[in-house]
Amino acid sequence: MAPAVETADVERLFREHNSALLRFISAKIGSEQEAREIAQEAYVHLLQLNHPEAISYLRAYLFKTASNLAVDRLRQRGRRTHVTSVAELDFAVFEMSPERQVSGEQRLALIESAVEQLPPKCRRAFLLHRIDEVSIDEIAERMAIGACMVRRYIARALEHVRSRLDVADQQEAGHNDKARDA
Amino acid sequence: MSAPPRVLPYSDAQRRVAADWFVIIHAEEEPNSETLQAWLRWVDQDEGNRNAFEAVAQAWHNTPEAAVRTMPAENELQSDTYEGDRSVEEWLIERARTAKRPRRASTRAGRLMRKRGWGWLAAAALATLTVGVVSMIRYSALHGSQTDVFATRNGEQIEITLADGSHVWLGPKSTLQVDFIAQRRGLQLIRGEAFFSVRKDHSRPFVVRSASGDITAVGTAFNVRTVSDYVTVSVSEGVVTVAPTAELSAPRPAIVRVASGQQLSFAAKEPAAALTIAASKAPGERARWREGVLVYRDEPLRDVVMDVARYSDKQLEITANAIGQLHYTGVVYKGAIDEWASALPESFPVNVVIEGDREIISPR
Repeated sequence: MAPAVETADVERLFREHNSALLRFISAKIGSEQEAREIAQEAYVHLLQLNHPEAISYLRAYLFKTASNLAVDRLRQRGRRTHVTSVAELDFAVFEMSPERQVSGEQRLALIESAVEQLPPKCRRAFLLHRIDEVSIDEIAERMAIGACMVRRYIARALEHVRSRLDVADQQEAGHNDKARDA
Repeated sequence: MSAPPRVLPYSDAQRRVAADWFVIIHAEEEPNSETLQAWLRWVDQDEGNRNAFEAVAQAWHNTPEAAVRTMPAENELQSDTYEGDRSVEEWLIERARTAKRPRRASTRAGRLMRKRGWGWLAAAALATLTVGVVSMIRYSALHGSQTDVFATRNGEQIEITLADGSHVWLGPKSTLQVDFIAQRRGLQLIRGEAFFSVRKDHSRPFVVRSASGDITAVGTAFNVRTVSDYVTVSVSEGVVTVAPTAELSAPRPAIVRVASGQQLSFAAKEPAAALTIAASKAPGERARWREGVLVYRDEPLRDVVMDVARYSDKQLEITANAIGQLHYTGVVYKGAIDEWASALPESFPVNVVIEGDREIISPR
């Protein structure tokens, strides 16, 4: 039986890439807690790996394993639970500082109005990918445009939603400064 | 001590690149080594990159399913020429610019079509013209809906005729969203200032949503100014009702009636009992911004500076909160903002320094 991957190698890999890995998984599934669980699972997978040659591409393998685990988990959730009420919004995950945040309801309204403002094609690509979970390639086919353009549309949409939230957060921060000084 | 407005932990450019990266990383099922390496290099390069990536990821995961109701129609898609080569914000500004072109069109219908620039409306207008009887105004009134966003840059202002015949003067660096449906004329002042002259229609309330609450009018003229979430409503004709966004704990939302010649300032989260309606000494003076005259009465210098900044191509900054709290009364002319700023040290204990396109007001 081929020797398993050295535990020390795996541990070093994890130490080096822990935060990047967590960020990578969080980006996929939107929950830091689950990202940690998946990272743990990926770690176990790697330790059980029976291909010594895997060491040469261990990092890529780690991310790939994590990615697969994340996809599995998303499928397990079945029909993915979408944010339907303010209470479900998982703001804590990436929260920078509490006073930066505008209220949950305002946030939902802001996001919705930012999405409504998007140019039509850009909005369609974004909604198909985000809400209907259609893959980039399939959106490209449906809209008869290139995959590059689909990615660009989605990225510009996301940039716009974020920038509207940023404007609100900044205004909120300004107000809090004022309130504190009063 | 912090200098308002607070800086984001990333730049606009970093947010833009972060969004590009997010789409790649999020969709990647089989991450290839080069992509991952390039992404990790970018993430490790700068703390701002990291912050921006997490911020766009948060925006992505918090986009609610409810947004799905806004899937665009086929004809909207066909007339869309946006190719993602500039930001959506720039696209919105460009569209608002096209909307305020001088009205040289020979027919009302033609003029309105250009203002809106929506495919479905053009199609509707065409149908209407073939019948040749119903005017665009009536069409809009019958159909009852209008969805538009108007945005202005620093120093720019526009006049808008809405589908119901009401007029809006939108001040500089302001964004207004119009959302008319059959039962309700809904608008949202996302930022900045606007003056509304409202066409009477008792069956369809005219509701302006502001940062801190809703302002409802039937037939009237009023001005709304927002500085952060501090909103000032000044009524020059008729009556409006204001419903400030209530704290969740509040027993029921307060509704305040503001009549002609009165002014109300409010902010979300302020106890409703603290709301006081002031009689403006000179009704309508607030609305003089439309002629480039900015009138302030006993207002915190910080708010005044933030408001004046919308008219300036320079970035006005106050470095200390203490001086922002000083109260200012006076008039600022749109064409003489630099002069106004440089004269501030005469009345306040401040120094004003110009650095490139920044004008910095600091304690003396």
